[in-house]
Amino acid sequence: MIKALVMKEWLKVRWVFIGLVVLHGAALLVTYYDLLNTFKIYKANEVIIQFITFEVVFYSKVKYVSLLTGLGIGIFQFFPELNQSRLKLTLHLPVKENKLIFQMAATGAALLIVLSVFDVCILSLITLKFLPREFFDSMVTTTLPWYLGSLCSYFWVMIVFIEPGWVKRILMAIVGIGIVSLFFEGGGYAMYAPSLLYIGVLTFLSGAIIFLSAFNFKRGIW
Amino acid sequence: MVRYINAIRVLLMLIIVLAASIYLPDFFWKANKHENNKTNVFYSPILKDFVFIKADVRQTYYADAKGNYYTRDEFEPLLPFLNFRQLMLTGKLPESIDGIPIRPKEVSLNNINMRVQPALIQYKPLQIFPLFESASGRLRLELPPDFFRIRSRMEFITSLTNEINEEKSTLFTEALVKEGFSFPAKAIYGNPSTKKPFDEGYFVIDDKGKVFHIKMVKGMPFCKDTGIPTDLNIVCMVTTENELRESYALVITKKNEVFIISYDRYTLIKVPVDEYDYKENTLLIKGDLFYRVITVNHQNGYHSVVTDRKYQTINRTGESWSGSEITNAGVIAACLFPFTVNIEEETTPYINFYVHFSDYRALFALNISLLFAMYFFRKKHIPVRKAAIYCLVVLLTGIYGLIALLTVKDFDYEKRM
Repeated sequence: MIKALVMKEWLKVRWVFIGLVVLHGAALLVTYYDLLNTFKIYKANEVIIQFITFEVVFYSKVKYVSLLTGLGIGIFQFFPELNQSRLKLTLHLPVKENKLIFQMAATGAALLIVLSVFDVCILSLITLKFLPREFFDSMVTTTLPWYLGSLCSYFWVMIVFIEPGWVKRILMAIVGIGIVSLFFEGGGYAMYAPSLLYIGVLTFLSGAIIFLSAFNFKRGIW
Repeated sequence: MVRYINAIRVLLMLIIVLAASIYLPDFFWKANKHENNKTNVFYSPILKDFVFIKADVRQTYYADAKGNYYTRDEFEPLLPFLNFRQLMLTGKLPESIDGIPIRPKEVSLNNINMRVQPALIQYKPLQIFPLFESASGRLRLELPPDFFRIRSRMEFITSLTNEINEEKSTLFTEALVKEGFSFPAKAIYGNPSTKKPFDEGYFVIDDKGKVFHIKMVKGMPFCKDTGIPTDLNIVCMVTTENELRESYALVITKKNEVFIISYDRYTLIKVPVDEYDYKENTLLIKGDLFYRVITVNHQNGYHSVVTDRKYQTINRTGESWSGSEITNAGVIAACLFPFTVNIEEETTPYINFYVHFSDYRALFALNISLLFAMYFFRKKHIPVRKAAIYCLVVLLTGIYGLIALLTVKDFDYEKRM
């Protein structure tokens, strides 16, 4: 049953996922060529001192792509459920509703984690090819909030779609925008360094809210 | 299941409380922006007293410590060192003050200005730095082809190849070891810019807390143990490379003490500061041919000390004014918001959840919010036992909790089922 559910979720989002892999690949390729060209035009030491002084986030495209990924997977996974009232049927299967919802969320979250790991790996190769190790360390700390933000935005899309009432759906969307925005502030290196734990906890807690929305949905509470 | 759902419902309320405590006060203060007053403190060698330039959005005022106000033209001669170029233009620059002849070149050389903001102290840059050639014989400093780090040894990374320059790394590591340096470096302070008149390299705190002065002279390492006490608990050093060559750097300690490292064998000179908190206040040091004015700027005021050039106190002054808290908006905010969460603050470069609590006035909104919450539950005929936890959230978080309550609102599901 579980295997079949995972397959169902995968079938829903596979084309979006493939599209997002291409988008992430393109963003990383542009990042690579931008950096390569910068090193072709300017002296390496001048590039590095500029990067240090102005904290140039040369991989900032990943920030927007990450947010888009969270929203994209969330929308494409749950819009058909609601539009075609599939979720109602799913939640009446002989499996505990929490288990079903967890399975659905875990499938989407796993795909997001795969894309985030893909980004980190490629960015690491790009960074370590051109720049000293310190840039790699700061890249990991700088991009981590974006990946968490991607996950968090996915959870909030899920919450908004599963909520049965329109008023509550709008209110949840407002709260979701407010919470997700917290992950994409600032523009320098490792600006979230002191708060990584807190935003990690916030992501985890946002994930838990999905069960309340599912509870409301099954019982028609709005 | 229901128990978990109740816990998740409280969790959702807390998340809404967090969002509300960030965005509501932010919107509120956007609509009620408080006007900022600025006061610049100087010491007049003519009046032998403090003088001030006070500015708001409408006007700039020029005043002395006795409360006399001046026009700009009357005020400028009171600060002949600060305004020497303008006074030269108008022919009002005195030939001597207190018997000391005034030479423009000397005045310009002795005018110094240092500013240390809390965000600068808390900022940790990438731990790789360029080591400039300090004695190149060239007019301008040139950016070296490599950058250094100090971990288990001092390593130079060639920018072009991104590889370690083993020869240079070994040369500098050996020089550091010879001087008694313990790896790794705890902190490295310097000014990695070519836009300075000369280079004094870096001040590096080693693993045992000793402060070393490291620079490159004609391609060779210059490493010196400064002898600065290891128990000083330094939180920041701001290098001060200016032509006066009076001090290497400004040192700020955990105890909010300020020192200057002098060119005379790295002797520490204590700088007198009043009510300084490096985490909150901006420190300004203005110097001229005769005096040093050390000002600590608070959110709503300042404390200034004027010293002679050896940092011996001559006089002190201070002022505080009412901030936004006494304005109508401030009173409303204090009553309405029991606490505010900021994710960005002026005093730090980092994003975090910075919580600021209101005072006893917040009890007003807390109680009103609780009454609303109780009325809400009573109207829905939800027993006190079940509503208690939600009421507690409202009691502790006031208006934010009430908003969360009205957003969640599905507390009476059991009756509807």
